[in-house]
Amino acid sequence: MADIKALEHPTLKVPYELLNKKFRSAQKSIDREVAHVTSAVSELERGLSANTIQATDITRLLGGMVQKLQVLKRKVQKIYEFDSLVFLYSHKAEESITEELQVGLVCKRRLEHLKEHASGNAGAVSQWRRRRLDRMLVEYFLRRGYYGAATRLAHTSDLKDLTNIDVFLVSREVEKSLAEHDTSKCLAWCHDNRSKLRKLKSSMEFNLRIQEFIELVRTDKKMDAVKHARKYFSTYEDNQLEEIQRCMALLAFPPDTQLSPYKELLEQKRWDRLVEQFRQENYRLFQMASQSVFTVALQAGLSALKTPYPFKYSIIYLTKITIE
Amino acid sequence: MDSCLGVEREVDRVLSKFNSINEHANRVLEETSNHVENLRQEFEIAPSNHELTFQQILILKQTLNQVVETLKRLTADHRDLHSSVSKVGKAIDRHFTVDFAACSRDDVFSGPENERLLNQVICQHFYQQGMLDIAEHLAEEAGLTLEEEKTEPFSEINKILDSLKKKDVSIALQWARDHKDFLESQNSSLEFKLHQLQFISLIEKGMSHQAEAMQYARTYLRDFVVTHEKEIQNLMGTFLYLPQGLSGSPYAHYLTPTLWAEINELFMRDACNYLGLSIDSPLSICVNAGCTALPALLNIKYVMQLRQVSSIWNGKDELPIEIDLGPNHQYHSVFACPILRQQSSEQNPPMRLVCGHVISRDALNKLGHNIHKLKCPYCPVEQNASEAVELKF
Repeated sequence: MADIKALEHPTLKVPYELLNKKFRSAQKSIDREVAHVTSAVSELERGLSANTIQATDITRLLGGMVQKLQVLKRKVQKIYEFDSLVFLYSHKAEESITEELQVGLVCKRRLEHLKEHASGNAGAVSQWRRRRLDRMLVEYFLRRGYYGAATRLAHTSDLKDLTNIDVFLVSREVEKSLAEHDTSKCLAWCHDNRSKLRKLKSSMEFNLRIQEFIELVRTDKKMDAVKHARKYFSTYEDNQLEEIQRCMALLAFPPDTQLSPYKELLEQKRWDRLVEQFRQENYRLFQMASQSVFTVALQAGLSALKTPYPFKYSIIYLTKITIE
Repeated sequence: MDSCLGVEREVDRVLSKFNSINEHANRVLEETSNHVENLRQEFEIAPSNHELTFQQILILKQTLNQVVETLKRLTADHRDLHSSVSKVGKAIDRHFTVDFAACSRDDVFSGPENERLLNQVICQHFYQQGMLDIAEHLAEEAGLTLEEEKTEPFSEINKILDSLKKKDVSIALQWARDHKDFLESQNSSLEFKLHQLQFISLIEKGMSHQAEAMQYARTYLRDFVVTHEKEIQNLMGTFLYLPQGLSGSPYAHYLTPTLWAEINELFMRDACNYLGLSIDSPLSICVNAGCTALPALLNIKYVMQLRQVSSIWNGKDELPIEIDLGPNHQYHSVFACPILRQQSSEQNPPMRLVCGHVISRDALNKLGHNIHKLKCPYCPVEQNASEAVELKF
């Protein structure tokens, strides 16, 4: 049981972070709709405090309020219907639930899976271990960007609910667009997780804006670059001033300058670094460790198996790695 | 187990709260909007120039207050859930180790060469598991070139496993016949078991195949009379029940699907044996060992940090403690020579001296290099170097 305690934190924490996110967005949308209704109410109240009150006016205002209430109800229900669909699909149950419940149930299902480990039956445990290895491998593949192998393995071993594959598939889109030098998807992602990123003191969005600026300079649209800088760099954090200054100085140089540090600013490698940064920030956002469980376990296993001459074939490679 | 239950309790609590608030919200919203709608309809049927009476205004105001009040409560109720939600997160952090990577270095598997090796090992693992398609996907995405001679035996084995799953023993039998000598040296009854399954499948077909089954037994089972006499006698007994079918007979156990599962396992074990591989892939052994070892490692790391002696474990060459992985994970004994202080290896095995003390061969050679007679380094017994025998634990 100790191994579960040590290794399964990300298995549960990621769906929890999703739950938390869903909860916040649900709260936000409820707040927004309620505010609409209350504004309708205050309009009505204003109408009531007039000297002569026409029934037609009141009818109209009441009609507006009913509409707003309906919208609120639909909002709550929309989450509800959408989910019941997902729910029916995955559970074949009649009961309907909200989006939050859906995510909560993912937590629950994973807990059920972890509890299977404790069943005393030796065959079941070895089966469970095989699935654990598959789970770890899926995660490792996802981190390495081997999405094809990951989805395939998750499909064959029926692990879709037990791995964080969806989270990675979202990030895959962002990574792909970043690799194509397109910032829009990553910016949308930043916007989506703004409050969380701020709490993590992430410089992701800032770096993206810098990159956009650089691209504008590269294509010699210097006026646009200045406008861009005015729009996004004016609200900088304390430690960012220096970088902004360096960027602004870039305006004075041609795109093919050989002068450091401006040459470095114009390097294409910066995009790769953005991809890497995005990956790390995404891990942090979901409280995933920077190393995959698979490599950690493998490393511990190689150290603990006290034998420099283990199996004939493949493992020799592995020991070579650790001994080096 | 406790950790799972602890988190589960919180998750259950949140789920039930979500459920109830969801029902409640729907009901309340339904009621409110119906109420307001009714009011609206009342006003609608009133004549267009009707002015509201004092009473009507009062009712309206009351309703409005009510609506605002319910909505406020609704959002507040939902907001209050936040504490239960975050309790789940805290429970997870409390019951599970957040920093499981504390005692591993992240550079061990990085670098193009190491990555390639690791991916290769994973590929091998999938081959051994019979998941060829995944290995191929991985090889493609990781840019590996699979060496033909390495994949070939696996693809043969997997072909046989596939056919066994379809209850077809012919290819497996062919394999068993091709490797007859090896199987005999391993004392494996694979071939007999395969024939037995084939025979039973003939018996299952009933009376019409009686002659065929008889013929089959005569042709193939004869070779095994010496080794499997009892089993063959049992098999012959099935002829008694041929007309009624085996299901109600004492031989009904021949029809259970476990026989097929067993033959799968038996074949896999023999095939892996033949290829010189263990039945579990090295990768799964390593990872499972790691899963067992990690809690202990994390624990010792934690304790060392607590005592502020963490610098003792530089994490480079050796572990600070011995980790018991259980009897399954002991592959060979480890002997360190007391003279040379080196771990023994295949080239430098432990040697037992006449007096019973053990040193490594290298040490023995050095001691007995010039003179034929040598003195045991532990006791004064004199002996000849050639009298020492290799020890195998």
